[in-house]
Amino acid sequence: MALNLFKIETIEITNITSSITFSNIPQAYTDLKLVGSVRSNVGNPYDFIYFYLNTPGVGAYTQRLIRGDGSSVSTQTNSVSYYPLQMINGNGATSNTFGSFEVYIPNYRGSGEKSFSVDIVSETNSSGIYMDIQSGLWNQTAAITAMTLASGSGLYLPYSTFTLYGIL
Amino acid sequence: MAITSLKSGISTRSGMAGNTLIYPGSYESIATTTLSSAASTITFSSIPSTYTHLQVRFIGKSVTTNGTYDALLMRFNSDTATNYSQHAIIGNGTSAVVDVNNGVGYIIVDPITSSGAIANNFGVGIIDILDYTNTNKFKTIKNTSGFDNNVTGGTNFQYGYKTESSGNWRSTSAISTITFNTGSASNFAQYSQFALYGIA
Repeated sequence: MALNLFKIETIEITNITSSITFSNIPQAYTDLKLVGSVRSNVGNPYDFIYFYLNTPGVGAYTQRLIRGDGSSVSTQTNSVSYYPLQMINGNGATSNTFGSFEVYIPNYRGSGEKSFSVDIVSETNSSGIYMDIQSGLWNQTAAITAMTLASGSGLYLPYSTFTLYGIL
Repeated sequence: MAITSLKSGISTRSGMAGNTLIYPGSYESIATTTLSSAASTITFSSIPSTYTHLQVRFIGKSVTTNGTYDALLMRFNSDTATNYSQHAIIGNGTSAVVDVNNGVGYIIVDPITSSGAIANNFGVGIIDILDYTNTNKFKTIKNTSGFDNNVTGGTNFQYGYKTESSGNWRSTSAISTITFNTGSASNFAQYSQFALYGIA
């Protein structure tokens, strides 16, 4: 049986831009899945994304991750006012390469604080790339109706895509 | 009146008064290969260009008797040149290591089991390929895979391990063919199964 996955919206960057938002997210699904293929114009090989649920600046986020950087595996935890979605490819990475990521948010309409999982890669043909598997928590109980992804150090380059799916 | 998609099998209702519209899903089976006998290659060809992303779900085993596992190799559009790279995090229950392979002729999607593993035990994995038709991008994959050989404890990778990996094909061509082989050049074992899905 096919997975009950439904596209809500795709946003493709046509001109460099600093932020994208999915708003008025339908409250008709069980879970949400966000996938992205993204590159920024920062001169470094890497960049990150400020990820916000609902209104930016409301609530706090915590993060735990396991990271491979091409030479070792490490782990870290962060507690900040935004969720650092890291790493995507910057313009210093191999041309035409884009970072890939997925954010999975179960029970996005539930009354509890919102947990989510992330896997994200900034693959290129160089030894030093970042690959993370992450878990995150937003300490708010509101249903998720919007999400904003603001670029970190640079701006999103054309052909970057973000697609939001609802899952029944 | 219910309408069932021949392609997805999802039933919808008509838009007639009184019915709530239910839209077809965005996740569709393109093809599934289940081996009835051992084979050296699994290929998905003539992949439709009508989706946004692709996903492969697999269980795999090779017939090599050298150890308990084998590597799974992935190529696109029959390109065997050294246009691929791969990075991985690998954990075996005790320690975690990285694996890097740049400028190689395939993406290593590690691991599947081999005939040295316990009977009927297959490696399992899910591979995502985003924007597979975008001709402005090199193609990046994400993979999660692994196997467990029913051994408690131990630090030997022969007992099983888990891989998170990424790979890149340095080509802007749309992906129309995906080919899988084993790292040992052995055949895939009977009942290995690879399923390709399109995501709208």
